[in-house]
Amino acid sequence: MKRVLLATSLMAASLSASAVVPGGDSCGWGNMLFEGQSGLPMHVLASTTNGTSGNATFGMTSGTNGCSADGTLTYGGKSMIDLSSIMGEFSEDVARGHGDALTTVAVALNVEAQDRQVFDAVMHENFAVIFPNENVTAEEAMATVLKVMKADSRLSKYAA
Amino acid sequence: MYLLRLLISFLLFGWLPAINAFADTGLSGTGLSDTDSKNQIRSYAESAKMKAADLKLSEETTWRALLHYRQDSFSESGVSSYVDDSAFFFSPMGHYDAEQELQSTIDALFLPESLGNEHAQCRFVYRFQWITSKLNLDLDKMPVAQCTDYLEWRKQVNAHSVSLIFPATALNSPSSMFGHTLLRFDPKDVEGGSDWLSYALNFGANINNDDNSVSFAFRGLAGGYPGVYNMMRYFEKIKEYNRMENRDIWEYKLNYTPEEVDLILTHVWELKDINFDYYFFDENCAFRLLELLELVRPEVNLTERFKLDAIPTNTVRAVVEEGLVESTHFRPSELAELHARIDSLPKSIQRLGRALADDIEVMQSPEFMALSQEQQGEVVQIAYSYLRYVQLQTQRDEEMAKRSYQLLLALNKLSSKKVEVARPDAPETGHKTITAGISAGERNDDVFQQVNYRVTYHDLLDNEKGYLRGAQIILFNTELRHYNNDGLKLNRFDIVDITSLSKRNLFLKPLSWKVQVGYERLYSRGDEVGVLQLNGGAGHSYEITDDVEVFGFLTGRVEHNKQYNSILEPAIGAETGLLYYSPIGAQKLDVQGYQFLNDDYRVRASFSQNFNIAVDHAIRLSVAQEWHDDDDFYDVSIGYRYYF
Repeated sequence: MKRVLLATSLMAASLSASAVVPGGDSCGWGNMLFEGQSGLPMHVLASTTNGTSGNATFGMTSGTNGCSADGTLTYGGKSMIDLSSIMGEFSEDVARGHGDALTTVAVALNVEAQDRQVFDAVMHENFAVIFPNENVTAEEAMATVLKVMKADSRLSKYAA
Repeated sequence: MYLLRLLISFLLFGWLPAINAFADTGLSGTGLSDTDSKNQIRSYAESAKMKAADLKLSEETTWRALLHYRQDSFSESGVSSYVDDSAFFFSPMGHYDAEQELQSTIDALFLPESLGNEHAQCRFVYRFQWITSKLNLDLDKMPVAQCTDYLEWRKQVNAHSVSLIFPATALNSPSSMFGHTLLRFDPKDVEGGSDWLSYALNFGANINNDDNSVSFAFRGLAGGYPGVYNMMRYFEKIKEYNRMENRDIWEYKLNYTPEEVDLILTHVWELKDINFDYYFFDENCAFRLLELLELVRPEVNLTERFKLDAIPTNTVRAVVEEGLVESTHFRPSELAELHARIDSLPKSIQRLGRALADDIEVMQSPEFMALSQEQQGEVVQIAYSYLRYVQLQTQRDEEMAKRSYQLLLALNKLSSKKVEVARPDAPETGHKTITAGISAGERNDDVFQQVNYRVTYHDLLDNEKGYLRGAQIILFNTELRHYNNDGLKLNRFDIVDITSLSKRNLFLKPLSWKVQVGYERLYSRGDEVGVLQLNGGAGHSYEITDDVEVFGFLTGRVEHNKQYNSILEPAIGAETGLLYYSPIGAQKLDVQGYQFLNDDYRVRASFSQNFNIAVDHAIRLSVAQEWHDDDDFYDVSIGYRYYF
């Protein structure tokens, strides 16, 4: 259960923060398909000159360059990373049924190597369920991911 | 070498008890709270300090490296630290005085454990471990702080191996001109898992978002920003470089042992929130990372090589030369993948994909329906990839989001292949970055000999191996000519000379541009004169075949020329050229013309050919013809160029 909550927070972190300031100050890279992720391309200037804009982090908190700077979700007192910013990659990988983002989420969910293919296939089959429209939030998508996993005999143990 | 390695492993094992005690000892275990034990601690601290002084511990390489001391003739002690942050030192003299800093550090290590996470033992773990092991200190006689923050961080950054990461130069992004480097720490099972979740360590200028780009560039060069380390999940870096900036990433897995990686991280923690000065050319990302790599393997020679400048490609080259690289991995940018996808498809499919990106109804069209399932998948995929690329440049657009979503739905039912981007030659295999050359030639029956020297780094004709095609970045290029009947002349001095040719196609419409500032000798109104000039242009470039590119620019120029009445004379012009990457070396045909406001005009046509003899050796042939009002003349030369 703990693991599931962690993964949910991976997906859902920071949506509230970014909803307040779409494309705002601390908001990071990439305006993508889904709501809650806006881009501010001028940040490119900062990073290409090897700058690190604003709040430096040391890995104790969530990603800082993303919209998540103010919206880190924690579980059991632990700060978790923000994966809502890979919603674009994740949705594309789910649509195709393979890819790095899919693997990353599987790893975050502690899906063991021998079940990864099943995970990929189940996600692929349920694309339209997990992503019912272009305005779905990371939190909602993750909740469905877990629901779908629970319904599968091999994946249910990871979503328990 | 071998002895050093032995010594290091001895040190590593010597520390094990310290590390264990550090992790295991509880507050209650030591019972050091009464006055007697306080006095005992005090006297133990004093004996430790004396022992450290006797052993001249502060002169050891590791201590010097830990405190980032370097030789400094302006400092009384002969050294000073790169670190410009009082939080890094326990002695007020710590910045300059290695011995005092060591003594003060030992004092701090004996402070009451109630300081918790702020205790010297927790804040400077490497120093703590090194000092206790060197002095063979008995941890039972010392306060032992509870370093919960550090331990939690180490648990989170669960590292087994380390990779040097090199995001390469991006076309159209002059500030990325030399690339960038960072380190990535991977857990043991990264191959079976995902390196997206690994931690990346970055050293960069902590910039102020409100600064405009001019003050930004200036402060970057002049050191106006503090440099800090930060760590984040690697996917943040993938997004930043691969996706936002269209830069390919090279990953060099290093052959550091898990114990060495552990030590590096121990020191990285000490650098948390510590300010360094940041200088773009020398004290930059690349240099700071070399320090870390050297700290735990003092026998490798890295920082010594980069006293004046640390260009990331050269630091990568050094790391490869020192034999630290185990394997290399290429991670192409999203743009490179999109280009590869476009290039892999026939024009008809490309056109359909482009149309589909704008109008989802194209999926109902007879042309689309007539395609095989596989082809339909390709059309949908390229339309989606393209939209995704466009979305990155703008704010979220409802319509576009809707279309993207519908494409994903379609993709879910069709299928698409993963696109393979051919792996180019690795950056460190390319020519070196300083160029010197000698040549001889003739200009209007005047024979000359020439030497040239370029501080850095690559022009359009240089051997393209390991470099980005179409990107020219030159800083400080000097040509000295000796004419047989006119003596020695400075022929040209370019401060900056950048050209960026990004090819356009059905999907991508980037702008190509160039800018150049410097001094040049040229013919004007009956005399050879030296002028100061600034010119630039913008235009398009297209790929004709795999190896032929054409480009055209509209250009502008301002010139300070003593033959002219005004201090600065402006001109407008045009330039067009053709680049052929032939098997023996690149060649360029180029025509450019300028019309000055004062009615003077100049046209110059040139042909140049580079013959690649070896990676660091080339012959360059150049032929040019110029027309100025009623005069015309030629300039031919051939010479040898050496890259080092």
